[in-house]
Amino acid sequence: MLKLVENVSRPGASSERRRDDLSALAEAARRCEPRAVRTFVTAIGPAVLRVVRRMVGPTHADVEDLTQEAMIQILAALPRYRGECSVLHFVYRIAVLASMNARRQYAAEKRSTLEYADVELDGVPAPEPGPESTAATHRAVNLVRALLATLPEPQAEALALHCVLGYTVAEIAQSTGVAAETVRSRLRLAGQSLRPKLVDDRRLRERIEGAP
Amino acid sequence: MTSNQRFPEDLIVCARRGDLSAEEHKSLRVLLGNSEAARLWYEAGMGFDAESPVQPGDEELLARLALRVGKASNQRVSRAWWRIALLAAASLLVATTAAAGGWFLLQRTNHSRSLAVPSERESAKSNLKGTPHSQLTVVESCSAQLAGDVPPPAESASAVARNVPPAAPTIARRAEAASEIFERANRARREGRTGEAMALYERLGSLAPGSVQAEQADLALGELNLQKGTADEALRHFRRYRGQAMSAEALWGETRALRQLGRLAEEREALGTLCRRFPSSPYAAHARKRLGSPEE
Repeated sequence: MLKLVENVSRPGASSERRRDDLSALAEAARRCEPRAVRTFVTAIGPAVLRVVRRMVGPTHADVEDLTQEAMIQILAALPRYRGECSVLHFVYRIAVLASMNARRQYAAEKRSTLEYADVELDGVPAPEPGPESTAATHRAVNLVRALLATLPEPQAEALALHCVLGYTVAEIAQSTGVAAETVRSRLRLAGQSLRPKLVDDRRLRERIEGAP
Repeated sequence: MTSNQRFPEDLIVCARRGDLSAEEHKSLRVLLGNSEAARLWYEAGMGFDAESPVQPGDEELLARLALRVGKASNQRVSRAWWRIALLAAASLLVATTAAAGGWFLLQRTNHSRSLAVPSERESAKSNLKGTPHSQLTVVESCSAQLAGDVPPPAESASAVARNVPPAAPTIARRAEAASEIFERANRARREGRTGEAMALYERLGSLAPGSVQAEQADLALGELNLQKGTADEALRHFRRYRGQAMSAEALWGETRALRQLGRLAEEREALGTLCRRFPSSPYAAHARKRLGSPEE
């Protein structure tokens, strides 16, 4: 079953191939046919879980609850699906929005604990690239996650789809129903919001400035 | 615009997908050299890709989620039907009330007319006979009596509405309150406010006994008590669960509570029941494994 994770790991060709299968299933699930709902949820489950893990972090305590909420929101949003993008893109997008909103809510309540600079780095594995490099990557990942909680929603959505899930500009435009130039502009603005955050993190800044 | 169209920002994505030509590699190097944001997106993107998409226990987690979400979807549908039924009942009530009001109005008009017509006749007669006031007084007193006995139609409609027992809205309000408390309890549990979550789940049992939320609350209380180490309480909640959809989960919780309590013979019995009743459940594999292991 977990092979599906691999199948949906790229929003490109493989998802296009699965598009028709999921369309029929999504249509039946939209009509709330219990068996179709169950099959649909089973089919998209690994993808939704993967998105939620990427958005909030793989060891986040609420991964299960957030995945459940995302799935419920996806089912509720199915009547709005017009077929402009593949079902999987639609699913990804709703899952991104659901987990992003949960993270924002959490950030608003416990803002201080979410500051990326305070992220606990103990327990970060130190494989081949060397501990410093791994820690920097980990800090970059956490910085993006923290940024997603503070950016205006359209920018955050574009950044999440682009940086977290690895969508191209055209794919984001197709999923969100906006022009490619709008997506690029949102990504540019998200990039501009990054600078003040980087100032606070000397080590990451050194790493970013030292690259490529 | 096609999904194959490439923009400079896509170089990072394509590099992550391992889908770059030699020319694009050069362009990527230029992009990373010029843009701080691009360097961070690249670094973070590689970091996201390096995170393992699967973890041990994912299969069980997804099976659990499929059950819960399926059930929530069914509830959503039945709630929609319930709303439609309530709406239909409310429409029927309004129609009945309006009809009753109309009937009273008609009756009143007819009655007045039946009294007024003879009075006119009588007054005509009395004009002839020269006794106008005696009959008119009767008419007035009858009208006044009628007006006093029968409230005006609008009042009568509202009175009828007031007298109708508000059973359906009360049920709906209680269901709404139960869902609200359930959501609050879930939020509290997610945010680590275990005590508050438990109190709210307990409240559901008394507010809406037998509701889906109260059933789910029993499972949640079982889990929370297990985490807290109060296995006897956990056992009580798991055993109290009367729902259908999560029976396997409740039984699995029961076995864990029994194990925590050291009642291993009972645990094995419950594990056996779990395997027999839910042979294809994700818990059955664990149960069989546990049954295969020697008693501690």
